Amino acid sequence: MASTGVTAEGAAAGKVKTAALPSVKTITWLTMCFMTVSAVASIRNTPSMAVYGLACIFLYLLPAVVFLLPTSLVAAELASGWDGGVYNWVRQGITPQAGFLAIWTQFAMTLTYYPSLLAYVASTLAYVFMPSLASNGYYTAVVIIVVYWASTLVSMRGVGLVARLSSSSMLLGTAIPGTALVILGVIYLIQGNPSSAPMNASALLPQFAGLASLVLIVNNFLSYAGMEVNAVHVKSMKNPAKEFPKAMFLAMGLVVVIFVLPAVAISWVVPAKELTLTAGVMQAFTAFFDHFHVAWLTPILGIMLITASLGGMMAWLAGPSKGLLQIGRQEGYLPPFFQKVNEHGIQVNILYAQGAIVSVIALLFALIPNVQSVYWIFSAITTQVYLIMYVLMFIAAMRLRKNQPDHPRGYRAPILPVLAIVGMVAAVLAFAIGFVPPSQFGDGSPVTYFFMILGGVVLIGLVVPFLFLKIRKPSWKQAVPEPAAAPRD
Amino acid sequence: MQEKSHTWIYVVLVVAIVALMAAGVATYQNEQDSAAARAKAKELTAALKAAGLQAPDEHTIVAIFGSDGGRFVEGVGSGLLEADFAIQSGNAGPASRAVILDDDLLRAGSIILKVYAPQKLAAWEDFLSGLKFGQTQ
Repeated sequence: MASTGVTAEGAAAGKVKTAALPSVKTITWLTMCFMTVSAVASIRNTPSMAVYGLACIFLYLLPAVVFLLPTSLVAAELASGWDGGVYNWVRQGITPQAGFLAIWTQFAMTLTYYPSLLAYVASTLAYVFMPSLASNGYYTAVVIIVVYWASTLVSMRGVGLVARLSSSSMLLGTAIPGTALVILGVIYLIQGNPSSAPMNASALLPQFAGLASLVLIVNNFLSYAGMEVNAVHVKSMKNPAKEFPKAMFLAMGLVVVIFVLPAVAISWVVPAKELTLTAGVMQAFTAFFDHFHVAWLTPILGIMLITASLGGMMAWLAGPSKGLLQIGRQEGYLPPFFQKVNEHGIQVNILYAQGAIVSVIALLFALIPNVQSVYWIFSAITTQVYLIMYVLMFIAAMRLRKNQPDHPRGYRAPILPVLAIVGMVAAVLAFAIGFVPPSQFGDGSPVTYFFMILGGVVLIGLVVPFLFLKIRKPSWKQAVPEPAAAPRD
Repeated sequence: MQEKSHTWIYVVLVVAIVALMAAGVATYQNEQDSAAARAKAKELTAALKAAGLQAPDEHTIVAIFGSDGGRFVEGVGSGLLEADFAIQSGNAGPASRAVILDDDLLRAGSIILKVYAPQKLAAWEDFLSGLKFGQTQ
C-alpha cells in the first residue's frame, strides 16, 4: 500500500452506546484529498466517454463549472467552520429535521449504489478469469455478498484504516492506470499515428441534437457527486479549517484530470467508436493495449479497477452512516440500537442494518432477471433523492452566511451566493432531467415514468425520513457534545 | 498500537492484489489468434465498412472477438450483463443513472453477431427492441 499520510489510528473511545465519538487526528489533508477523489472519480467508464472524442472535454468541463466547483467550494467553507458534515451544516443552517433529511438522502442513495458497483466488480473479475461467469447470477450474488461484508468488517476497524485504504486504492486503481493511459496515448501520437477521433476545433463541442444531448450533458453533473461525503470526518483532521479546503482544491483538479485526460487518450488510440460501447468497456481497454502489443496488461488493469472501486466503496461506507449516527444521537432521531458504536467509534449497528438491506437488494438483483431489467429505475430514484441533499446544502450555506456571518470559518468561498445559486440550479436541472425516461424505458409512457420516479422519491426521500421523525422519542437523545466549530489557527 | 494491529490487513490486501494480478496475467488469454479468427476479422471489417461504420485494424478485432465473438457474444441474452450495460452507458460512480443512448453506438452489435454468432442475433435484437434511442453526436 502506498503511504498516504495517515498518522495514527483512532484510539478506543470507551463503552458502546453512550460513548463519545473518537476525535483522534488520523487524517492528513492529502489523505482526505485522495479519499475524496476515491469516492467520486474512477476511470472504469472512460471508454464510454471516449466515444465523444474531443467533445468529452466539454462534457466534463461544463458540469465541473456548474456543479463540481459550487459543491466543492461550498463544502470547503462549511467544513472549515462546522464539524459533522452535511447533516450538521443543514441542521445549523435550516432545521434539525432538514439536517436529518439531508443525511438520509445521501445514505439512501448508497443502498442502490453498492449492489451495482459490486456487480461491476464481479463482472470485471469474471472478465479476467472466466468470462462465462459474468452472466451467472449465483456467482454475482456470492461476489457481492462476500466482498460487501468483508469491506464492511474492515471499515468497522476505524476511520483511519478506511482513509488509508481508500486513498491508497485511488492511487493504485485510478491514478496509476490513468497516467499510464495518458502516457501511452501521447506515445501513440509521438509515433506519428493519426488520432482516431477528430482533433480539430469543431470537434470540441458535442453535437446538440435535442433531448438526448441535454440528458447526456446534465447527467454528467452527477459524475462529480460525492465531493462533500468525507466532510463528516473533519474531526479526524488536525486543522480542518485550513486542511479541508486545501484537500478539496486539489481533489477538484484531480477529479477533472482523471475524467478528461484518459478519455481523450483512448479516443486517440481506439478507433471505431461504434464498437466501443457494444463490445464493452474492458474490450475497449483491450483494444487500447493491443495497439501497443501489451494486451496482457488488461487483466492487471481489471484488478486495479476493482481495487479502486472497492476503495471508493469504503469511503462511502464510512461517510453517510456516520452522519446518520451523529444526528441520530444529537437529535434522538434513531433508536438506541442504531446509536451503538464500537471501540473505534464506528456505527456498527447502522452498518449491520445497511449490510442486511444491501444484501437483500443484491440477492434480488443478482438472481431475479425481472429485477435486473428494472434495477436502473431504483438507481434513478435514489439519485433523485440524493439531489435533494444538494439543494438543502446550498440553502444552508446561504443561510449560514446570513445568519452566522461571524462564525469562525477557515475558508470563505468567494461569491458564495452566486456559487450556491448556480449549484442549486444545476441540482434542480439534474433533478428535472431525472424524470426523462432513458433508453431502457423503451416505448413506455413518459407520464408513467414521471409518476414512477416521483412516487419513489416521495416514498424513499420523504415518507421514510418522516417516519423516523414521527416515531422518535426524547429518551433516544444522547448527551453528546455539540459539534464545535472546526479549530482555527 | 492501532496501526500495528492493522498490519495484517494491509499485508493480506497487498498479497491478494498481487496474486490476483499474477493469476490474471497467467490465465488471461487474449482471443485466439488463429486463421479462423483472422478470417472472421476480415469478414467483420468488410461488414462494418459496408454499413458505413469504422473498423479497427484486424489485429485489434482478433484480440477482442477471436474466432467466436469473445466476451461480447457470450454476454448477449444475459440480464445481468444488460443491467451492467445500462449502468455503464451513463455516468460512473455514485448517483449514476442511465441515459438516452445513441443508436449509432449500438449498430455494430447486430453486425458482429451476424459474423460471429447468428444464433444470438434474435436475442440481441430483442434487447434492442426494448430500447428507445436518441441522437447525441
